[in-house]
Formats: sequence, C-alpha cells, structure tokens
Amino acid sequence: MKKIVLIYIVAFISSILLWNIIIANFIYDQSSEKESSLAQGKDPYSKFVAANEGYANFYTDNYGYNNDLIEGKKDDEFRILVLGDSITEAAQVKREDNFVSQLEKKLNDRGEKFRVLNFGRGGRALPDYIAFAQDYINALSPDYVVIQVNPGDFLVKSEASGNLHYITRESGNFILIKSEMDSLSQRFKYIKDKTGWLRPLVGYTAIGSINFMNSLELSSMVDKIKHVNIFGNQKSVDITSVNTQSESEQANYQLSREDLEIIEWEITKLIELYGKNIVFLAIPVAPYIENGEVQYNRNEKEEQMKKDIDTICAKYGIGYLDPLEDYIQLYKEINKMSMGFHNTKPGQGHLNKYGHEITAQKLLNFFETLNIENFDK
Amino acid sequence: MIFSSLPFFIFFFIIILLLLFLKDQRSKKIVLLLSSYFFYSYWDYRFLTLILVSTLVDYYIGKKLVITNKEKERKRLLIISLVVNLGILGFFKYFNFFIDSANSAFGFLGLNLSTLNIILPVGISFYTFQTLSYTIDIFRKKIEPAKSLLDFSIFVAFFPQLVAGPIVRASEFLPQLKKDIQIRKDNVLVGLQIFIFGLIKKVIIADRIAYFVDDIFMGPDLYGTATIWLAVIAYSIQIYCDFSGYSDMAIGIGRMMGFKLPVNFRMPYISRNVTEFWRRWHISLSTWLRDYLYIPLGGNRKGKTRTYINLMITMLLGGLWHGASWNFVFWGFLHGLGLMLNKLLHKGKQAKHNYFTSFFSWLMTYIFVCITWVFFRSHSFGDSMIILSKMFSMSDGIVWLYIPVILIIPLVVFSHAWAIVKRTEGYIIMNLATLQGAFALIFILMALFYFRVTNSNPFIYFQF
Repeated sequence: MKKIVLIYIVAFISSILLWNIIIANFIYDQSSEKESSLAQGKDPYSKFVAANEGYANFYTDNYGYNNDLIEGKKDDEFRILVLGDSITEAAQVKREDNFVSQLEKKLNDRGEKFRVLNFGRGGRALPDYIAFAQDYINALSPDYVVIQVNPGDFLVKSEASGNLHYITRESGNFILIKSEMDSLSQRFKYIKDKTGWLRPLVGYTAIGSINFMNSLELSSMVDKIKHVNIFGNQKSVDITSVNTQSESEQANYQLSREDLEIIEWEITKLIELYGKNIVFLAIPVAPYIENGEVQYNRNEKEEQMKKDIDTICAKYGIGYLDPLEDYIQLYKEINKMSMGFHNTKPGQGHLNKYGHEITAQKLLNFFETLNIENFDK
Repeated sequence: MIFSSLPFFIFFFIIILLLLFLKDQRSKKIVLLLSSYFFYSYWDYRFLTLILVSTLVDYYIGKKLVITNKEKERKRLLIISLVVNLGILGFFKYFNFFIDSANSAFGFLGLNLSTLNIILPVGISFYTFQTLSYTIDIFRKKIEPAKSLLDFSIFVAFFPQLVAGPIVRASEFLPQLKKDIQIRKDNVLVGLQIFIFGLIKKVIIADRIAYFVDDIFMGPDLYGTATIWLAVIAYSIQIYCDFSGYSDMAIGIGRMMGFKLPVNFRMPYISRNVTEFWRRWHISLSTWLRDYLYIPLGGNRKGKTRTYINLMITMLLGGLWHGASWNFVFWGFLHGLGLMLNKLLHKGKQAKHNYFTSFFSWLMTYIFVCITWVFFRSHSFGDSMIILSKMFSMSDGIVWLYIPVILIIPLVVFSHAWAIVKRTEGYIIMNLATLQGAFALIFILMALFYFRVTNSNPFIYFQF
C-alpha cells in the first residue's frame, strides 16, 4: 500500500511539472499584474505566451506592455500613444504584425522619426484611460493619442462590468470610481503571485477548472459559472447577447439622455487631460459568419451607438475612425476575414494579421491628413 | 444523462456502492434494472412505456415460442413480435418521413397529408433491434428464452448500452446474468481505463473537431477547397471518435460492473475495401444486418444477381436505420455500391496485396468512405454536392485550417500505425500499480481537465 501511495505521489508531481512546462511554453503563460507597473500593466521584461487564439510569444517592455524597450523621448521624436483593450494589446499576432508596429513602420518609411507605443491591455475601457491619463502623460509625453474603442467602452457604468474603473453619477455630477477586486479574485491573485515558476499551471488551472465544471453540465444543479476568458478581465463584444434583442427593440434603439451625457463627459474629460490631439479608432465586429452566412453589418443597436458617438466627436472636433468598409473590402476581394485565426474561427475574436494591416493603413491615411511635420507639439 | 457529465458520475458511483454492499443476487439485479429505468427516464420518462411494452411482448413471445411446436403458430408469434417492435420503431421514427416523401412524390396529384408532432425516443433503434434479435434467435432455436422476466428486462434496458449501443445479443448477455454479479478490483481497473479511453475520444477529440466541422457544413459555399477537405477528413475522425468513444465508455462501464459487452469498432479506417470496413465499423449493427436481414434474404447463396440485390437492400435499410432522411438512404446506397463493386472485383476471394496495392486500396477505401460521410453529415443533398464539387476542383473561399484538427490527424494516424506495427487492435490496458501506469493515468486525467470543450456536444448516434 505504501508503495502504491508513493508511486502515485511521484506520478502526480511528475505530471504537474510536465504540464507546467507544456502550458508555459505552448499554451498560456501570462505574468500577473503588479501595482508598480504603469497603469497596471503586466510584469516588465516578462514572458508572455498565449496560444488559445492565434499565437503570441514575446517579452514585455520596461512598462509591462507589448513594445520594444521604451527609452526617454528624443527631441525630434513624434510620439503616438495607442490606448486600447486586448485588440490593441494584440497578443494573438507577432509584435511586428500588429497595427501599432505596422503604423510605426509605415510612418518611419517616410523618414520621419515616429515612435508609436502600444499601451493596449485586455479589458480596458474609457474610464481607465481617464483614470491613468496623468500616469501616461508623465511617463511617456505623447504628442498624439489613439484610443481604440468598442461602442460599449463608452458606457462602463458599474462594477459588474468587470473593468478597473467605471463612471457613476453622484450629486448630479459624473465621477470615476475604482472597482474593488472581489475576495475570490484577491485570493487567486495572491496564490498566483506566490507560486513562482508554477504560475502558468496555477493560472491555467483556474480557467480550466471553470471550463471543466461548465462542461460537466452543472448548470442544472448550480448556477453556471461564467466562462472566464483566458485574458482575465477582458470583456469581449458579445454578438449573441446584443442580437437577442427583438428586431423592434433594435430598430428603435436609442441611447438614453443619461448615456449621451456620459459619453460627452468622457470626451470632454479626455480632451482636458490629453488635449485635442486624440482620435478614436472603433473596431467593428463585422464581417462575421453566422449560421453559414457572412454578415456585413453591425446590428441596429451598435449602428445607432456609433452614429451618436460620431456626432458628439464631431461636435468637439475629435476624429472617429471606422474601418468597417475596409474589412468588408478585404473579405470581398480576397476572402479573408479581418478577425479570427486558424485555431479559433474566422470572423470572430481578435484582429488577425490582415485586420491589423488594414487598421494600420486606416490610421496612416488619417495621420497623412494631419501633416505631421507641421504639427505643433 | 450523458456519460461525460457529473450527474452520471454520481449516479454510477451510487450503483457501484449498492452492487458492492448488497449480498443477494436478486437484489443486485433489481438495482440494475431500476437504475437502467431511471437512466432512461432521465432523458424522457414518457418513453419508458415503450421499453416496457417491448420487454413484455418479447418476453412472453419468447416463452411461447419454446412451448409450441406448431410451425404456423411459431411464425405467427414471430410476426407479432416483428409487428409490435417494428411498428413502434416505424411510427416514432419514420411516420413523418413517409408522409413527407409521399407528399413530395404525389404532390402533383394534390396529395397533402399532415405530419404529426412526434418526438423520437432516445435509443429506440438500438433496443428495438436488440429485442428483435432475441425473438428471432429463439424462433431459430439458437437460444433458450431468459430464465426470468427480471433477467430479460435487464437485457433490454441495461443502461450502459441502452441509448447508443453496442447492440448486444441475448446469447452474449443472458449467460452473464446467471453468474454472480460482483464488483471486482481487476474489472474496475480495466473498465476504468477503457472508459477513460472513450472519454478522451469523445471530449478531447470529437467535441473539439465538432467546433470546426459544424460551421463548415452549415455554410460550405463560403470555404475553399483545402478547408473543405480538412472538414471532411475531420468529420470522418469526429464520427469515429464520437461513436467508438461512446461504445468504449459503455463497454468500460459494463466491465466495471462485471459485464463484458461486445467490441463495436476495430480500427475501421485501416480497411482496404468496403467489405472489410463493415467488418470493422459498428460491428454490432453490421452483424445484426447480416444475420437478420442479408442471410434471411438469401445472402450469397442464390446467385450473383440476387447477392447484389440482397446487399443493396441490406445497405439501403441499414442507411434508413440511421435516420429518417433520404440523405441516409443515399449513404446506404453508396455503401451498397461499394460492397457490390468489391464483390465484383475480387469475386469473393481474399485480395492479395503488396505494399503498394495495400496502400492504394486503403487510400481508395478511405476516400470513398469520406465521400459517403459527406451525405451522412450534410444538411441537404444540395450541400453535399457543393462540398463534393469543392473537393474535386480548385475552389476559392475562406481558408480555415483549424489547428486542433491538424494536430489531431497525425495523432490518429500514429495510433493506427502503431497498432498495425504491434499487430494489436484491442485496448491497451496498463498496470496502474506501476509508475508508468500511474503517470499515464494522472497525465491523461489532467489533459481531460485542461482540454475539455466547455459546451459538450451530444453523442452523434443519440439521434438514431
């Protein structure tokens, strides 16, 4: 009996070690957050491996983001800061293929001295860019700011959204609130921080256990545990939940007065902090494949939100770029979807290298209209 | 409840405990029977009545068949059994199919019959064939009837194989009920490994492939040639792993309780002709069709032409058994053609192979089987033709080379090649008391934990 117990202990430890190696190198290894990183980025100079969607394998920069080393700003350097969520973070493609790197390369091909910085982080939204604005400005001194958004990013109004910050009204004014991490998340973060080189296994086990429990059909016995996206707090645009609205609800969808006020408040706040050198980059979720057919349009709700945001941006002279037509053109010309990978599904998830290329070109076209060399820094 | 779910694990654990601690053989049998009825009722309690009707009718007909010597009376009893069982199957499974087909064929004459809102009872095709084999074998005087209604009821409703096979013969199962039902350590260890093997095939391989295949078959016109080929090959692996995985789980569960269920698959994709394929694929069904349809029709004993006709009838009905759709009938027709062609080419003799002809025969057989799967899986005949045209011409479209499928294919190829080299087609049973066995078990259980697909698909053959 003792021999059997010993055999199983050794077998268990060996399996754990082997799985940790496999997960760390081929599946998922993401460093935990450190408060000292700029705007709660990842660990600086740490390895990032994720193979669940596309494949990423890189080392983070000195601030914990997806860049080469960021040095002090040079005198003649024009710095573009790109903020966004996991789409900008672009953990699914090689660093040189993401739209931030491609934009930098395209700009510098013209002989200009541009540095385009990728400060995308999964799960971010507008309240976070407002909250961290001074940190970004102090550390990076950007000359222009690109803010990649989904329409829902403008309306993060409660802690339930899972974002780091949210907006609420208090005494008639809008204020920014920092979300508190719930006790389970705190405990999990603590365990991850303390497990050293076993961290990949621990991190992936948390995700695996939730998926495993869901797959055992526990929903009929207990409430189904929400499927945890492997990028932690990342919220993904849920096409199905948006599309479950009735056609009449969608067709008649309008932002409420309160929502419009929130959006306007956010934009004015961003201008106050970053100046007017801002442009929004709205990444649409189309085209996508549904029930065996390609869908080209956003749903009515999303379309209406885009129009309202566009109107407010125009009022304040802020650009609002929408590459939907470019993505559609990509599909019609060469049968390539701008999102999706061979290990997921075409048309779903994050931008692939084709989507990134199109997006970089869209931004390049925008910056060309600004005559950057004459820009008043 | 499906085998790969927590409710089933709890259910099975309770049964094992009861069988372990009960001393009386009759009590154990009652536990087996009631648990089987509970298992079936979990799906839909309303259709338990059909199993009970089938059980009672065939049990008493079995008894009567032995008592009476008059051939006319015996035939009458057999016909009653056939009518009752096939009548239930025909009504629940094929009524709407025949109505729709009649409306399509004679619509120009103004025929417009109404269909009924009929739910297909889970497993009806399986347990119906099982009970029919019992009465037919008694009629043929090959077996004696079951000792008791309890034994026969367990044979009909035995939960591991009730809803998706293997189709068990009374001659294989009833003698096992005469022995003491015991939970033995060696059976549990062997059964557990077979169960886990089936679970891997189902939840890691089949369910993962389904994520890819379902989308492609829903809209095949969107995708390019390479993607379509990958999807067709992937589906061949999916249906094999799904169905054989279920069979393995059923066999493993039965083994853990001390019962030996028949092997249902023997690496069908190494077959070098269609005849061999049907000796390796869904063996319990193919042997049933051979023994109770093909041979009674005359088999190959009434000349060449009649042999071909018998083969075609058997395969057409075999296709129809899979589902109430002309897609399945056509699939059966193609396999009938394949069997006829094989007979024609080899004239009943065993083909002689060298390495080259072996490989060529295998490749042709595999491609043929894949082509037939297209009709089996597609939503419509039109979709099948789109897929086939894209397979055999260079066609533009979205390229989606789903990575898990690309990783799974060499795994499947390697495992088959290894089995051929080692000349083994059985289960690999490890000694779990060794370090290698313990490591393999824990490593695989962790793989199930990490790679299990979140939303598990129902077993493909449940729809039959």
